[in-house]
Amino acid sequence: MTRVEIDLNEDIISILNKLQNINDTGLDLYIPVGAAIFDNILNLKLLRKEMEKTGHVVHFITDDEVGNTLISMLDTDTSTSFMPEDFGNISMSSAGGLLSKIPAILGGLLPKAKVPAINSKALLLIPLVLALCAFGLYKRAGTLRADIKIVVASQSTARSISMKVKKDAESSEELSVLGGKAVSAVLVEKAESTTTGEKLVGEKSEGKVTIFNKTSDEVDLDEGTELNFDDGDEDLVFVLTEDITIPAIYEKDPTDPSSVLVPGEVEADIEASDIGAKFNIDGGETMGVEGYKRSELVAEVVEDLTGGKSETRKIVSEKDKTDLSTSTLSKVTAGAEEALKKNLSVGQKLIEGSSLVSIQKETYSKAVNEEAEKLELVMEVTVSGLTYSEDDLNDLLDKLVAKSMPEEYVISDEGRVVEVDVLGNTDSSILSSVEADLQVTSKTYVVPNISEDDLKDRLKGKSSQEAERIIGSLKDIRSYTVEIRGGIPLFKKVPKDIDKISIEITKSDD
Amino acid sequence: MPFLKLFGKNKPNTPQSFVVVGVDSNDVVCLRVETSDGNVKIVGAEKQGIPNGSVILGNIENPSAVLMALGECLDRLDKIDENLEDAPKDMVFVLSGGNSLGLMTAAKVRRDGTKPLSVKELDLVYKKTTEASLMKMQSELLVQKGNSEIDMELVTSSVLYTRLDDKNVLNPVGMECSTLEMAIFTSFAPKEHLKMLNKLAKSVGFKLIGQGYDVFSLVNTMEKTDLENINYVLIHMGSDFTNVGIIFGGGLITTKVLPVGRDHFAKEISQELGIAYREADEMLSKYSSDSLSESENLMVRNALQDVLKIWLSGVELLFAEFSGIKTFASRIYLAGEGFDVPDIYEVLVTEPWTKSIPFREPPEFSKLPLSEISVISDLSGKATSLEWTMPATLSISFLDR
Repeated sequence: MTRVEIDLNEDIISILNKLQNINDTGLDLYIPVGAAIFDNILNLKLLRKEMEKTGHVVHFITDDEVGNTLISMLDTDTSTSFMPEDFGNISMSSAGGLLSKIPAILGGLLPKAKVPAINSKALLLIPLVLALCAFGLYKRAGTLRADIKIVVASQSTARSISMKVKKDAESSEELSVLGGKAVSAVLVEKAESTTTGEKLVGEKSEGKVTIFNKTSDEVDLDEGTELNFDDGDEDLVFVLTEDITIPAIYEKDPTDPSSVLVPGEVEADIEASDIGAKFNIDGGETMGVEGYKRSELVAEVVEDLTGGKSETRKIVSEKDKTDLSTSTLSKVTAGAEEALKKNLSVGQKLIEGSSLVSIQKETYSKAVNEEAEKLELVMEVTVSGLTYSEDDLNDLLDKLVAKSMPEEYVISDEGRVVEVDVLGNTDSSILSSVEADLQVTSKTYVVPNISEDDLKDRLKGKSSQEAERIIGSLKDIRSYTVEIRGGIPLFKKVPKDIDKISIEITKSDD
Repeated sequence: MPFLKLFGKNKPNTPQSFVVVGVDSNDVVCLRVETSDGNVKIVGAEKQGIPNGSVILGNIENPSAVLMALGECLDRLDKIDENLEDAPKDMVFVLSGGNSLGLMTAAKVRRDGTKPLSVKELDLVYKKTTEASLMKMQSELLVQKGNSEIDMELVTSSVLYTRLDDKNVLNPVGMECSTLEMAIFTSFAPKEHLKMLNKLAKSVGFKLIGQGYDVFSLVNTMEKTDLENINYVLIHMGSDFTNVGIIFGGGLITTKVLPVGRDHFAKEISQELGIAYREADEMLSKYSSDSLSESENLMVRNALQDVLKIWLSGVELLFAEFSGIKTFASRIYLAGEGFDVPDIYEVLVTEPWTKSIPFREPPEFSKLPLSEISVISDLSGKATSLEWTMPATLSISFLDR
C-alpha cells in the first residue's frame, strides 16, 4: 500500500496525474483538512472511477469532517426524487428527502465511550488523589506550549519596472523614483611615457668671402645682407656679419684707353643663416648678393667655410603631455568603479557606468620642449558615482508590486530575485553620477497575508482539532502541523497565553 | 403577494439599460445591454482576465483582483461609443453552477374540491413549497458538498406548473379542484457570495438590481426562440466547472455540476509544455480559433488528450447522478467557453459515452451561440463565442421580471 499525500488546492486532474503514475495498486490517499477536492463529491467519485480503470484501489483518509461525510456517502444512493412532496392538507411541517437520513449517516461516525465501574472503598482516597492530581496538573499546565508550522502556497510574480535613481531624492512609488546617494574616492595615479618630440641643434658654418663690385658705383652692404648659394638642390643663404663698402669698378691703368676694367672688391665675414653641415661650402664657390645681379655684385668664398654642423635631440612635445594625460585618465577611469566599490557600505549598490572622474592635479616631470627621453605624470583625481540601497529598492519594488496585488496577499521575504539593468545614456535614458534610468526585473513570491498575532488570538484556548480547522480554513495553505506540548494529557489545548504559541510561516517551494 | 408576482403581476420596472456582469475563474465579463419591445441589444461586450485562483468555482477568493478587472471592463464599456445614451448605473450579476444550485420542488395538496382556489391559498401552497425547496436544497448540498449547513440564500423562484386534479392550468385562481399540485424551480447561492457581489457593484458606483442563475436564464430565453425548447438537456462548460441542466416541459428541473472546466485543459497545457498558465490559456484560445502553427497545434492537441478522457468520464458520471430521471431528452444544447475548444466538442459528440445513459433517442448536439437567439442582438460584434451566451441571456430574464 502506497501512501500519497495531496495538497490543499490540488484539483482532480492534478491528483489523477499524480496517482496514475504509481505502480502500486493499493493507494492510501491522505487528504488535508479543507482540501479543494472536497468541494464536490463528484471529485471523489471520478477519482475512484478513473483509478479503478487502471486497476488501482484508492482509500481516502482525512481528518476533514465534511470530507469524511462525503467519503461515507460514496456508496450511498443519493438520487433525487422528482415526485411531489405530499403536503396532505397544507399543514405540512417538514419535508422528507435525504436530509432525514443525515443522523443515520453521521451517527455511524461518532465514537462510543465506555465508563468502568468504580470500587466504593476507593472513594475514601478520592480527595487525596484529587489534591495530588490537582497539584500535578497545575504544575504540568504551566508547561503547555503550541508550536504551529504553516506552509503557505506561494505564487511567483515577475515585474519589469522602469525607475529612475536620483541623487539625494526621496523614493516615490508614484514617480517610480528611487532615492540614491553619491559615493566618492580620491585616486593618485603615476604614469610614464617615451617622449616623441624632436629638436635639431648645431653650429652655423662661417668664413670669409670676397665680394666683387662690377658697377661703376661704390656699393654699401649692411650686416645681415643675404648671400645666396645654389648647391643644385636648394638655395643656401648666408649673411654678412659686418657692414662693408665695395668700391666701384676702375680702370687698371687710367692712362691707357685700352686698359682693362678691374671690379672693386672687399673681403667680408659671413655666416650661414642656419645650422648644418650643408653650409660648409668649398672655397672658390661663388654666391649672389641680395638685390644685385651676378653681373653687378658677386661673392667668392675665400677659403672653405667650416664649422657648420647639426644633430637631432628628443624633447617633450605638447602631444606627449596630452597623450600621457589621456591614457592615465583612461586607466584611472577603468579602475574607478572598483575603487568606489571599496567605499560602499553593506547593501549599497553602485550603478555601473554612473562614475564620473575629475582631474584635480597633474604634475609632469618635464616641460614642453624640454629635452627628455621620458615624461612622467602624477595625476590626482576625484571619482564619484551614484548608488542605491538594496533595501530601499526592495521597499520601492514592494510598494510598486503591492499596487497591483490583492489586499489578502503580501510579498514573501523568501526567494526574491531582483535584476537591475542600467539603461545607459541614450536619447531616452540618462546615466550620470546624479541620475540614472534603470530597468528592474523583480521576481518575488506572493503569499497569503496571515497575521501571526491575529491567528494566535483565534487559536488560543482552542483544541488541537479546532486549531487545525481554523488553520485549514485559511486561504492558500499547503500544509501545516500543530504540535501541543506539555500541559495536561487529554486536556491539551492551544495555550491561552499567546506568548506560549509559536507560529512559523514559510512558503512552499513549488 | 409572491404568487401573483410569479404570474407576472406587480411587475417591477426594468431599466432601459444596464450592465450584466459574469465572474469566472479566468475573466470578468461585462455586457452593456439596452432593452426595448421585449428584445435586448448588446451594445458593448468586454472582458478582463484575473489572476489564477482569484475565483474558484464561482466563489470570489480575491475581491481586489475581481474589482480591478471589473473596473477595467466598465471603463472600456464607457468608451465604446460617445453617441450612446448616458452610461447605465444598474448592474446584474450572473450566478453560475460553480457555487449556485438550482432544483425543482413539487408539492401536492388535497383540499375541499368545492371551494374555488383563492390567491391566499395559492400563496400558502407556494410558501410551503418554497420552504420544502429549502430542505431539498440542504439535502442536495449534503449530497454534493457533504455539508448541509452552508448559508445559502434564495435567488430565483419560479412556478414551473400548477396541476389541478392532474390537469395543467396556467392561472388557477378561482378554479375548483380536489388535488392541487405545484412545482417551483428555485435557485440558491451562498449568502456571503451575494454580499460580495453587492459590495463589488457599490465599489464601482453601480446599483445591484439583481442576480440570476445562468442556466435558469438560458432556459427562460429558450422559450422565446424557435429552437427545440420543451424537452432538452443543457450542458454549460464554464471555466472551472461543467454544469448540466435537465429541462422537461420547458422548465428547468434540476442541475448538477462537475468541477472540471476549460481551465483544467489550460492548466494541463501549462504543465505539459512548461509554460505559464496565462500563456497556456492564450494558446488554448488560439488553438480554438485555429490560429496556431501546425507544430503548436499538435503539441496542444496532445496535451489535451488525458484531460479529455477524464472530463468525458466525469460527464458520464454526472449524468449517472441524475438517478431520479428515467430517460433524458435527446436534444442537447452546449454553451460556455469550454465548447469553443474543438476537441472538447468533438469528444462529446463522437465518443460512445451516451450508450450508458438512458437517452430517449441517440442524442443530437447543438452549440448555442448568441446568434441562435433572435431576441438578443449583438451590436458590439464581440459576443460571438459560446462564453457570452449565458451572461447575455440573463438580460432577457430581467426583461421578463
